[in-house]
Amino acid sequence: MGLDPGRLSGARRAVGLFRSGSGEALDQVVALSWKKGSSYTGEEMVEVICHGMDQAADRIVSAVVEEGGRAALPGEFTRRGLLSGSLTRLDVLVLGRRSAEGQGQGAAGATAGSLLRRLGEVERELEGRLEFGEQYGVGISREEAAAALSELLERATELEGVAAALERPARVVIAGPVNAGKSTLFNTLLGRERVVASQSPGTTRDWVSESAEVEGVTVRLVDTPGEAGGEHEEEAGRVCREEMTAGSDAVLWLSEGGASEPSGWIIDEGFEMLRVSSKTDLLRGPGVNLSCRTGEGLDEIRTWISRRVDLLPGLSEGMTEVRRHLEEAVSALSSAREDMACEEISEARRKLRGIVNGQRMEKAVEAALGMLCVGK
Amino acid sequence: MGGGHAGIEAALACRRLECSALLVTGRCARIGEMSCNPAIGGIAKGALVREVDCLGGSMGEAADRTRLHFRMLNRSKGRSVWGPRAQVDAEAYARMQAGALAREGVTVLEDEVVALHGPVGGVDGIVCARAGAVTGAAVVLATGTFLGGRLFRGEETWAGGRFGDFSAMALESDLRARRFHVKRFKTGTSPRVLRESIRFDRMARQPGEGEYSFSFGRAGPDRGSEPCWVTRTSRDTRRVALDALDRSPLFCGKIEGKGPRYCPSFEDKAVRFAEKEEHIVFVEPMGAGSQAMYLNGLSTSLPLDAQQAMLATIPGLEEARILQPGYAVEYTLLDPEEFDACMLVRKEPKLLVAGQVCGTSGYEEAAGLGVLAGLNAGRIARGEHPVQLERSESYIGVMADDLSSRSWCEPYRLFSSRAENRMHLREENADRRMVPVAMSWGLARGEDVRRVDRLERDISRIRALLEGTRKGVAGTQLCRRPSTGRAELLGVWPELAQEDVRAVEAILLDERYSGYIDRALRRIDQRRQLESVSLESVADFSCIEEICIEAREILGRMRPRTLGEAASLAGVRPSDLDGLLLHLGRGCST
Repeated sequence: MGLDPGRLSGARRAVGLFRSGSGEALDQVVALSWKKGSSYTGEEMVEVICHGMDQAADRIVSAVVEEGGRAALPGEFTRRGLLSGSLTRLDVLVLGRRSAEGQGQGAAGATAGSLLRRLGEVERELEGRLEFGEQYGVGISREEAAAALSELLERATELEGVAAALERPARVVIAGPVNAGKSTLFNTLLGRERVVASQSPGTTRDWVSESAEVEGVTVRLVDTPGEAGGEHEEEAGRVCREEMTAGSDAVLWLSEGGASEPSGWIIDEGFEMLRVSSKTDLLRGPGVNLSCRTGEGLDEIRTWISRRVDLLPGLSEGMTEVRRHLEEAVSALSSAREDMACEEISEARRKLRGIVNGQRMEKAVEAALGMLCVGK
Repeated sequence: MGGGHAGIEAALACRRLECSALLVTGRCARIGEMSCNPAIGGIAKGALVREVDCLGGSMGEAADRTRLHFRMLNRSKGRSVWGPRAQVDAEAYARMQAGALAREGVTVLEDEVVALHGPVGGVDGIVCARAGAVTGAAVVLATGTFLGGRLFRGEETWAGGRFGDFSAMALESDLRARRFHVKRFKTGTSPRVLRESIRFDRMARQPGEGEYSFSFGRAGPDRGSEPCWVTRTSRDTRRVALDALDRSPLFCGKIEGKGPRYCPSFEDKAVRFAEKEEHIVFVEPMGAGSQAMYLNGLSTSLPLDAQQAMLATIPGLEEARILQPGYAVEYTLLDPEEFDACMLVRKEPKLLVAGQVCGTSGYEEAAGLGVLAGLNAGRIARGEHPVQLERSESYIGVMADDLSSRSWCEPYRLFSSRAENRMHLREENADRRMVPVAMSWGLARGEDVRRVDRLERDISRIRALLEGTRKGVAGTQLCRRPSTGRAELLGVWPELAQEDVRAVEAILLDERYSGYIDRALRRIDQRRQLESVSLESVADFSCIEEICIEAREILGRMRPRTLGEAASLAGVRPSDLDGLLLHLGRGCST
């Protein structure tokens, strides 16, 4: 799970022997116990760190299961964190993205959830300074508030960078058996002859991806070599496909007259799919009937593609606004205008809350949760 | 009913509308009494006092004429949160308020109100112990801490609304019998000590500062300034308080009412802020040359011996002689669901409420609601519909709306942060905000109307000038820059030096805050839209599939009446509100 020093501060530590239910000593371990609200999931939690051998870990896990515990599902910890409010949707997306890119947790551990919480605290402390400071001699000093705010501004700037990286057009893969007309559709959607399309099967050998405007939104279209079909997918082809479809959002499954059933990987990896029967000027089939020659079905496909996008609209723009409000707050505080600083912080919080709780984020979050492994 | 800060303003507002007003009080001699600390104003409260003044109230002028010490709180924290606060001569203040009642022709009756008059739903007067039934066009309930009041000090407890006074027990039974939803709150006060017994050389002197008057243009004669004094409690004080906790009515369960979180008793602070070694204590004069000094910050209901022992640990108060010990008072109030933002009781078309009986704490809050209740009592008497004040335009409006729309579990104290439009609700522009409405309701003083009129004309003229561009910048744009003050503005627009200082200042502030104010108004508007969507038709939140499971649970438990209430619940997200709207829409279409 990775331990950053900030996270550790909420835990109590103990070193000792881990014993099974029957009293057998299994390993010498370090145990960290977190109170409600301080752990990764936000729940009360004990984390056990044992020796690095698989054996030791397995024995401890079995002992726990014997006592009525169960192993976590992939992504379960993150899902729980999301439910308890200790992680926000944005954080889950960041985690998902990092996990997809094979990275661990961010070095600074800046999550939108902790930023939101800290901003709330600083705002309350500043409000306390305004309401009670002079009458009751309580509340945070201006210097303390300024220092806290500057640190939060840094975190917000970091998140802004993350958000910009997350914001990307949806990837739509055009797949199907050889000679289904994938390249013709690809070119038609692109509005130019990007790839060579011909009537002879197997013309397209390489994966090609291009940015396209579909009904006013930008998407990334991926053209693929035709699948040979059958059980035997070549190893090299599989690796290549996995690489190219990773991070994709939807698949158009094209086959001549809808004759071919979608490949297993589309279902297995849970891609959203639109089934298209191509060359319908010759032959009718199931799903959308498409003829690039007559233009039949093109509008339907365009609409479908344009609905797949809107993954994280305005995410980095929103984070930029958050950062700007915090900059304003820092500057207001330095010119002795606490009232304006409070307004700016509270606006930054409202914006951030809107971003992390946005309904349109749900889909992306579900996808991100799916990318996480056990223990996350 | 009631001769406190709410009752007085209510009676005066009625008289402004040319209705006759009868004020019934248990003891004439204690009209306008400051039962707690002798100070008026503070953050947000100072602006509130000015609003009361512009609505024709007398609190501001009474404070101005009896002022001993003045400070502008938050002077260096932004103009919108400046908090004028005055120490006043408590006795002189009460005399001044009683004088205002006499001058304005309010009839005062010393009697005990034992019941409301008329059937449930048709209350049309009161029943007094001696005078019998008195009926009228409207009744304002401003009972303060007297309704079912009980006092506590250590293990002693007795009936009373204030030290040395009786409480309204019979009236409380009548309200309960009429099936009003009531609850109990508690509040407390600090010991008063003998001035001669204090060692002032061991405390810090806090001089007053500056000239100010709450009332616009009606400043009284300067009464000179008396200093306040500052000292601090120590770890020993805390220990004494903790040792006596088992004899504290708060902690051994005798008081069931909830106390104010923001004005806690010292024993409360000792328990809740264990990490804080010292707490500040302000030693404030009760009057000019008065022998009594008020210990602000030391509210307590511990037994007398513990109070004395606590004082012995505080620098300067070691030998202090207690004139009147601190005590707690628990009282009955009406649940907010019983009244609306006009302060009108929902089920009684002629009954209104103001002050602590609707859940507030503080003299200023009471006065603000008193004006509103009195105004509407007068309007009812004249056959006009009751009115309310906008949240975006006044602290009184914020307060009345807050109180009537949510069930509070502790005495409500006004904070500047309760107002979305805080940047606009400044003490500086209270007359510009309030005098126009006061005029339309017949509450405004002629002199105020004339002054605001002149001011607004000046402002429009100067603003028209500033619309122009000099040195490449429009004047209004220049005003919005954070570094622009009057001096900077005059550097570019020197002819403004001849203009009214207040008018120039007003434009500067309006411009500086305009962005925030626009945003706040939009938020208030959104909130109003949410409030207008009723959730009454939702029988079961648990089966609404459009919202997340967590939100279903919270909504099921809290059962909000409107979408606005739902939005204010922790754990309910914007997406859940969308979901609820979707669900409601579906419900309608089928």
